[in-house]
Amino acid sequence: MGTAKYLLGKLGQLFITLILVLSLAFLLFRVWQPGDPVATWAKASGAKLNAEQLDQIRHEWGLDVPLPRQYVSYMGQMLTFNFGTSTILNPQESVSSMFWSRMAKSAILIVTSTFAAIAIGVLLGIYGGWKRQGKVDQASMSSSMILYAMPEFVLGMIFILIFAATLHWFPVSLYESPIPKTGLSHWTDVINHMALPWLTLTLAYVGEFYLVMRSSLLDVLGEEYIALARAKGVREKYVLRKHAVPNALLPTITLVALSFGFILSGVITVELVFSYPGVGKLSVDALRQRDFAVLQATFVISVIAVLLANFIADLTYAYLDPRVRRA
Amino acid sequence: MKTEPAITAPEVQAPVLPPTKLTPRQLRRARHRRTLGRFWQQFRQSKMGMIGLAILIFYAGVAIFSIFANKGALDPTITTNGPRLAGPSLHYPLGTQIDGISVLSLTIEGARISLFVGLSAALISMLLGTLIGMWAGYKSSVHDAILMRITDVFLVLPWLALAIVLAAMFGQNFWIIIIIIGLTSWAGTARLVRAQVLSVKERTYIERSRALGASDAHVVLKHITPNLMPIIFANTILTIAIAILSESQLSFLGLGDPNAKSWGTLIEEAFNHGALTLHAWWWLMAPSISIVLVVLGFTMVGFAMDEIVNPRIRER
Amino acid sequence: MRTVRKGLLVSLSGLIIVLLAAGTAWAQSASAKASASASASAGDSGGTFIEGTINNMSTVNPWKAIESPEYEVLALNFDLLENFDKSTLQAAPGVATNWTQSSDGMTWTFDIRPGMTWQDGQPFTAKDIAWTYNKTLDCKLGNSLDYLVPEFTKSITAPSDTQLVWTTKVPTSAPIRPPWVYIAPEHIYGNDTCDEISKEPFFTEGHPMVGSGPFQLTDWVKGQSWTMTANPNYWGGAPHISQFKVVLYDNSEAMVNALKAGEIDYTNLGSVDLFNQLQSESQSGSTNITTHVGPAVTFGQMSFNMCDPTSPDAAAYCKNNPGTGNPALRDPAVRTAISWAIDRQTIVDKVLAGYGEPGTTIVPPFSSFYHYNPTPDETIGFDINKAKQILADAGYKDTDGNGILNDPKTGQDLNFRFILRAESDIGARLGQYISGWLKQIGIATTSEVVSDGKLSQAWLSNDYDMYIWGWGPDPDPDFILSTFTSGQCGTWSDTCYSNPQYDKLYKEQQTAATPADRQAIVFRMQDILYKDIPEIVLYYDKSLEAYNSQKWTGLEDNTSPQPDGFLWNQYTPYSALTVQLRSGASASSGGTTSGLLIIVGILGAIVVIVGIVMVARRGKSEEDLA
Repeated sequence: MGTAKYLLGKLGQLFITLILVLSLAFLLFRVWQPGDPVATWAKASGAKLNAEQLDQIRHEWGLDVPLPRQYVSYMGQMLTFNFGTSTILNPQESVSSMFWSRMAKSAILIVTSTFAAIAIGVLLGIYGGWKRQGKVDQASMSSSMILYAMPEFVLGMIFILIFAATLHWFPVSLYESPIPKTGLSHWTDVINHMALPWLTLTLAYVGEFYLVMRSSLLDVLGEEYIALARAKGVREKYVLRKHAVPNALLPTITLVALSFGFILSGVITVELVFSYPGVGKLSVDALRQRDFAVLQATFVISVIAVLLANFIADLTYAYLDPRVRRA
Repeated sequence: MKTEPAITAPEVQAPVLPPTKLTPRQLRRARHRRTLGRFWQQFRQSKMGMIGLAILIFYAGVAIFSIFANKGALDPTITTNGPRLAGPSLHYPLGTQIDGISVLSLTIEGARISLFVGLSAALISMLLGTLIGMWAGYKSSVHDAILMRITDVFLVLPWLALAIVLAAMFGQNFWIIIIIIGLTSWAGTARLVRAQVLSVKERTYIERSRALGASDAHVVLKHITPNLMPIIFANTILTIAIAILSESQLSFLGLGDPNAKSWGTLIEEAFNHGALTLHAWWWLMAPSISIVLVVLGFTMVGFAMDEIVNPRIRER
Repeated sequence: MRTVRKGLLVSLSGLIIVLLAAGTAWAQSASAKASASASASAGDSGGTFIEGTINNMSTVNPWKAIESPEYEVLALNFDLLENFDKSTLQAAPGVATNWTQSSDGMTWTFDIRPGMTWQDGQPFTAKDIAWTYNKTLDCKLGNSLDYLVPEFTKSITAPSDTQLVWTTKVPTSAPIRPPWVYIAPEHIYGNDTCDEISKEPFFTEGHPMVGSGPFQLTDWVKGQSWTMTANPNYWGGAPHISQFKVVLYDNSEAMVNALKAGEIDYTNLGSVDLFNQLQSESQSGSTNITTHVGPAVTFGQMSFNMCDPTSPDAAAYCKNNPGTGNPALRDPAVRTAISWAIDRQTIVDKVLAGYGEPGTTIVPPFSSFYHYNPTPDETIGFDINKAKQILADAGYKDTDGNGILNDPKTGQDLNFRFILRAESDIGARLGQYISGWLKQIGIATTSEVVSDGKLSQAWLSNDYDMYIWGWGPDPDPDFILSTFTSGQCGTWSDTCYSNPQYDKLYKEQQTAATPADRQAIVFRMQDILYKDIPEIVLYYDKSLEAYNSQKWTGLEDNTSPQPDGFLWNQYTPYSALTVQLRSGASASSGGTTSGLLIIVGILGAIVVIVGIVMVARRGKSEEDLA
């Protein structure tokens, strides 16, 4: 019962945050937008429309109603993922369809690399924290710091320079070869293209997770109940597995969830470097062309993604921490 | 931007007055000097901290030098026709880029911009975060709840998506970038400060001070803030590192100020002119390595400070 | 014992991984060879010519098309009344085989080619042309409305299947510009209202687009690719190739890689540096790609704010939106000096990497009949000292010694707000160069890079001094000339330039009786603009094309317009009919080596080794295991 109350509370917070953020989006994309979006679009696309035709478009875009009504319909649209049509990138095409088609590609990349980074980072962090100042710890410590200091797009470019442009082991960019292959060869082709972006993202964040897990474990190892367990004669590995690690994982999970927003921003630049046709690359193209309809969708979707990640973290927290369950 | 590893509260003792004939102010200054001296002694022992400090001093020097350096070397209408996209040579130690301008000159200029933007943005972030954190931690629960809600929203906001929209709307000059980074990164500091204030607030000497009739401002300024200074300072150093990384990300996406080219903007230009396919690695690497070194420098110094300031790590 | 089993399991899994990797590699190379041999066609005819592009197509309705790939499809699927001449882009016989103008100049009679059919087999007659033109005029449809000169057209009729008569209210050569209005089939859309026809998709899944041209749009995967199939009954002769396909890419780098890998056959590049790289590779003989520098059909301009609300000639919109333009720019001496201070050749060499020409007049050179070349004594070149002299003579001195000249009327520093487009690849660089030169003659600039939204806002409210944008004019100069008339201030005018003499000449060229008459007027108009300098044409940038010359032939000897025309995507497609496979051409196998499999193989080997080590270390320190 405690868990249910806890989770409902978190869900409620999530919803309030979402409303606040969407209201911010309304301010950004409707109220504070410089220039007349219809006139801008017309000049940029070279359409030679007269004033009447422009007004017609203004009506279609819902821009001629008073602000409060716009706010209500805007919120409705955002919550139902109705992002309108792209103005510049793919004129007339629905923004949501542009996103869905690329979502899967980005999702595979994000999910696999995040899991790999968490897995490797956490495992190494445990080992490094346990055998502090050991060879593994020192090597991981320095490489983690260097990776932490490196912007992920720099890492990606280094990989391209070495493995793709010079050694030709991997393709320089994209998701798959231009002429699509079929069956098994299609999947190996995709994996071939995804290898370097995946590696870049994994390495970009593994350092951070390593440092966090390690420091969290060190904190826990300094606690009194650990000393007590050791004094009682419990074996070291047992101490780790049953006492230290589960307690150290809790703050780690929180921090991992918090850094999801940064993982998303990393995805944007990595997809740009590799021309990987995912949601991140779409955002950059929209940015280049100032297609605000698509940028708006990027903003809203990334917020929702981060909120979801936080919620999943809360779920995991509830599962791991018995104090929450009992409350 | 990345999260910083947890920095937890130090246990600072109540000030004990030694029996002398000095004025309170002189006493305070003497105490500060001693603390700083002790701090410096400990810092010197950290290899990591000293290396980081050396890197930072070097780049600070480069940034200062760039103020007096020859600006003509950056103006494509003035530099005589250097070879375009040429690799490192005796005359051009870091090679040239697409206009024939020396990459070394650009990197030196970029040092000043990147450091200035990073430091200013971190300053804004630190001020905002500290003020809000202190207000939330010290004041009543209503203030606390509202401010924490707002902080949570900003904590959750994907900063790059928001930064992109703000920069796309309001233009690309570095003051806007500074404000944007400052506005999107204060939440972590606020949380940290609030937690510290909450724990310090209940100390006995604070109670004593208040019983004696001290005003809120007095308590905050004279008692709480000094306790928090070391933590805030360590946190700010790490915030600077993150700010520099964030600025490089924004510039790489093309949102940098074209009149004040930071390292990130240099990388963006190189990338967009196909430096990768053209194998012009020097154009990419000089600014990249600089970013890594500077961020590493701040991170190392920040960690070293954290080890000193956070006694729980020290004890182990 | 448990360790032995564990160890063996590990080794076994490692071996399986290695075998899988090897097997996949073998399967992949086998399939690559299979697809390679499948796509190689024998002989000279047939085959699919594949183009790569980064511009997406959103509509194929001939009245709604705006983007270049849309025009490419329309040009292949439909006909115009007259073709664009291969060399001069003037009117050439096509659907209309012959035409005569009455002696009073107000009636044009066209002989329409007999025996033509639509791609669905129905007969194509002059009545289709009349219907299309009248529909356009009645419904005021689309971007090409002005080609039918609605102000002066009296009637367009088809007295018979093979005759079209166009009468006008004043003598004009407009009907042979040629009018860029694609002819649509009346038998399919004849019953549509104005609203319906502007919403027609013209192509739907399973229903190829019906036109009269050499190709027909038969497939369209939106956002990915579209395919056109050859029309064997085309009146101009059947194309050699059987299909033409366009594939959409995210960016130029990906596209160029596909070209090099043989996965596409042709592309029109935007990136100068990629083109350079392709060109040097092609010259050294290491690839089968041939690069081609095409015509300069677009230009970049720097526009000045010419809205002077105090002037009696000011446009109405300017008077209502006076804005904040710096009055110093209204002094022709200032604008002339600025023009002398810009080194257009260096811009071409450095920013365009040589692929362009220094700009002069607003009708680009590719429209060779109407492009005006200024005479040597009126040509403005690059001379910093001359620019300084012009300003000094006009009374501009640096009165406060800060290196910036002062306006004698106001005493203020000459500091102009300079707006550059964020969406342009070269906007910021151009700004940097120009600011540098202007600084040398004592003019300061405050430049900012903004989105088109902010720029349009500034431009519509006249709150700017200078900005950089560009145009891609049609071969016919009417539209680009119209943008400098005072009536276009607030709509299409770059600068709100207002000159009654120019406005009068614009009307005259619209109604000039013959092309020769028109040319003279158009030349005069360009000359006026060249001397008044409401904007400076900085450069004409050339198009950059590349294609697989090992596989294809018939392109380079059929470029249009001549000389140095486009290899492909021409105003009237000539090369689309002449392109064909070289005999014995074989498709190159694409794809890169699968580095992934190397890595997987290595990992597998590592796992095998770990397993062996585990087996070997059995029996040691079992106390360590919980």
